[in-house]
Amino acid sequence: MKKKLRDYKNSFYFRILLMVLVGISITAITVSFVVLIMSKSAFNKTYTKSQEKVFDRIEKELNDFHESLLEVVNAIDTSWAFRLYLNSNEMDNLQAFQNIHQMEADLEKSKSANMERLNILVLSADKQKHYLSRTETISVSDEEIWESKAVKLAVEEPEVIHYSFSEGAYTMTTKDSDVIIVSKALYYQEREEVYGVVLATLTMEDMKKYYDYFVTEYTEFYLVGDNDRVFCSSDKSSVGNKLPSFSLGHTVMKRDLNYLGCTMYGVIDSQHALGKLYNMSLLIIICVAIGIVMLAVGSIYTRQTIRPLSQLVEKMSTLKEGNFTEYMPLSGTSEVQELASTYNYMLDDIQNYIKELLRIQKEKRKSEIKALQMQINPHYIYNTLASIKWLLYRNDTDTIVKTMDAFISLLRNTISNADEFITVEQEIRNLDDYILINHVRYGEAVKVEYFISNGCKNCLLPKLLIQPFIENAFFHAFPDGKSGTIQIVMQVKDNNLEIKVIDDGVGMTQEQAQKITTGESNKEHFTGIGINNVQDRIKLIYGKEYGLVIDSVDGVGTSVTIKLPAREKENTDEE
Amino acid sequence: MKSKKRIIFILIILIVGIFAGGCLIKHCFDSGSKNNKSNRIVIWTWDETFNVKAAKMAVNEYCKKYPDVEIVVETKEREEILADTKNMLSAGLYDDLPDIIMIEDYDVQAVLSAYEDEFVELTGKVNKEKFADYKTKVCSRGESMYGIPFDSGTAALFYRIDILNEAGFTEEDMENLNWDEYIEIGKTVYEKTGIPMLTLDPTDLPLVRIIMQSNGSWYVKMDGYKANIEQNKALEQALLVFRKLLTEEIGISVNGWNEFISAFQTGEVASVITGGWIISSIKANPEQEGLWRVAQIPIVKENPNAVAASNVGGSAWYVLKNSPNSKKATDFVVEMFAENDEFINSLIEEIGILPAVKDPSIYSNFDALDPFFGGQQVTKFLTMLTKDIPIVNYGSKTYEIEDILEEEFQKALLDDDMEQCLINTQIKAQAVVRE
Repeated sequence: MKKKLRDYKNSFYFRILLMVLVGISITAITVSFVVLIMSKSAFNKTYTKSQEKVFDRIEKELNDFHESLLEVVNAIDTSWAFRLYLNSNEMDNLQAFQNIHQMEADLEKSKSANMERLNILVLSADKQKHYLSRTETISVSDEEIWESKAVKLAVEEPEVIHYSFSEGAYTMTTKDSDVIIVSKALYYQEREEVYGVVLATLTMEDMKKYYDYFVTEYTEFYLVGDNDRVFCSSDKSSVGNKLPSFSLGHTVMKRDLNYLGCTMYGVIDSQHALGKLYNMSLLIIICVAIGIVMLAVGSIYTRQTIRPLSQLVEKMSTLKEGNFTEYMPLSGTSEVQELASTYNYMLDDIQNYIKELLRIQKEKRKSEIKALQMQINPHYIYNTLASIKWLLYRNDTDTIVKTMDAFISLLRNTISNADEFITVEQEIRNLDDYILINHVRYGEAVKVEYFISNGCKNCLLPKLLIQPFIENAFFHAFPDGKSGTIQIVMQVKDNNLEIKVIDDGVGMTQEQAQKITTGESNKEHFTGIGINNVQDRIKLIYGKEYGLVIDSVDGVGTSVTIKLPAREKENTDEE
Repeated sequence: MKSKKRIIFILIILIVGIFAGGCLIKHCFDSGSKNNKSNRIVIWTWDETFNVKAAKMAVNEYCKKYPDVEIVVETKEREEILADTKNMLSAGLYDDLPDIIMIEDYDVQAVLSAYEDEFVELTGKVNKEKFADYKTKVCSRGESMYGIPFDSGTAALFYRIDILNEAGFTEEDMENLNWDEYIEIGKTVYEKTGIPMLTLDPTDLPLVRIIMQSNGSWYVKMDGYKANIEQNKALEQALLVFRKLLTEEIGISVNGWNEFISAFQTGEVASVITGGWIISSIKANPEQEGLWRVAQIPIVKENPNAVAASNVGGSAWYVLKNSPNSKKATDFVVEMFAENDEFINSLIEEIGILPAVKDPSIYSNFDALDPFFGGQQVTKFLTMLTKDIPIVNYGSKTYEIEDILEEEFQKALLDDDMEQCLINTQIKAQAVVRE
């Protein structure tokens, strides 16, 4: 397990993935960081700048408003109808009716569009006459109004407009609300005598429309009066108090509004705005998500790219086990293809080489066996000839002739006949000759019997295949002149030619049988071919599934079974 | 096979990733635009002693039953409500819209013709049969009803019995008057007490409207699209009465609402001729309890059509369809102003409302004796008058025409040529009416 892990860590695939991961992380972190810093300064610049413009606009609009208000006040001041109304008690009812209509018309003319519903109260100095522009009622007494701060300021300095903050004005709807009261005295310049006062009431709602578009979550607006008290602000809690102090993350803009006698402040909470602007968790999630996606895509892509390579590695490891037939498919990148084709070429080479080697080996063995089967042990010839000589001494002419014929026929069939394969019939004839000679030489204590099925007479078999077993039986199964029988049984079974050589001799143990098959050669033998070579020869000619089996029981006998394919003579001509 | 599985796996991760990312981004933007305004019903109306008071009472009542509903009543001028609402509707600023607004009967048709789709149709939600026909007609366009009738503006003569007694007049003397008789009484009162009879405001001519309607006529003809000024006897008679009141100094000139109200509240005038909704303002001065009486308005005796009943003002509640809390607001007005008879009954007692219903006897306070008016059955008296009011079509340009008339009337006061005044007004009014 540990080793596997280490292998994995060491793999091409893992390294590429690791590289991709590290790359993505570094890119994401650096880019985020750089973008963050860049946009931070850009934001600070542009946002502050744009807010500053907005702020300037507020200043302009407040000044415009002040001017419009001035126009209204001047219109009232210069309107004969208002003067008449405020000063004269000598009008008859009809004149008064017309005068009121004229006042209304004069005021309407001077009002600019943005102060359509302006709340204006005009009060005469004798507190007898008032004019209220709105459809509502006055809720405080004229004396109280006259005593109010706004009126006092106006009377003190009749030539200027005064703005003052008040908690509650004088009409039903404004009596409980915070308002800004704009006051200006109406006076005769020559006599310096005040004959009335104009009071315009601005609720905080009215003021709000001047600064509302500046105010956001991060920006606050303050109007501070002469006494350093905030009298109008988007931050409700600060109204009536001193201007709060601001920490480092705030950008503070300040404009003195000279007409209004107050100062306006715009405060941008840059730190807070930036914090909201950059949602760090979102950034991280996006980075991680892209990272995972890239990793997954990279993983697939890398895997696909290096698949031929890992296949190559797999195939190569089977090479260790001697399997040279696993070829590589040609796929993947050009380098890998080149590698695969070279590998295949190499495999081809190796295989050819091995084949060639095997072929040579086979040829060598074949010729060896061939050489063996062609030769006849010279000792056998000497001994046979010696036996014939002995028969000559005995003058047993019949036997001599018979022996000589057999010997000649045997020699002819083995030396002269170049065919490798002979029919069963011929083989039996050869065996007959050989047995006859053996009987002459060693007596007829051992009998040989044949049981040949009719179907196999014409079957082909390699020359001198059975002979070694007969020879073996003669010399080893029946020692010390013991008598017995050797049976040769041939039959065709399941398309196979089955040959059995059975003796009822002394038999042997399985180890001895083994010994015989592996090789021990006797000079006395007819050919140099040992039992051991027979097995090789059969397998060489017919293939692995054919061959011989020796069954032997000590003291009972031995049975040799040879299995060959059944081939008729006609069919095997070309072989 | 293996790679296929892997691809599916990656796809899932991708989808989940994008989804999660999307949600997060959406969440970020959402949190920015959220405001706490969303659960608040906003009502715009005017008149602190009458409409505003009624609305606030309704809110109190309703919140007892539904404590989680937040309702805010904002006082604005009648013109302001119209102007602001129209501005917001035409700009599509639905987030800033109020949910419920009050519109005066004279203005309704102009608003509905332009913004019919912006109002909640109440046809199926309200029992139409309950309300007076003339009122449901004003609140409707075609067969669709958009408003819940609030008060009827039945006009009457409210007078100070103490002042009149001082001048030698009794309650009987004030019954079934015509204008000439009223003016004569006024002269006597002024001579004996120094107090004029009533106030006249050059910037607002409700008295002209009252007389004109009692004569069975209006600024426009019954189709609503033809100015009816020139040769309109009813109007001419109204203007002549008005001028006479001025020149004979029966009515003193005042400017604006404040002076109009304070004049009778402080006892500067002996009577007020206007809609029943003024009762709440009359009652605002408790020192005058028992000193007031109510009678039918004087009629123009030269006019055979004249009846001693007329109407001025009167209004209804309307719900804006695209406002933030339109649905809740609809539930609120329907429950309080259309279905809750008990509540309307309490309004009769509190502000002296004249409910614009067919059968006012469903309210137990309907025939109550009013000690402020010396034990008169004020509500019963006024609602009885309601069915006599001549039916006219207000059209949709009442105040526009009146602005023109005010201007021309000023000239007529100087040169005394009332005929020319009507001719001039006719030309300009026709231009305004035709749309």
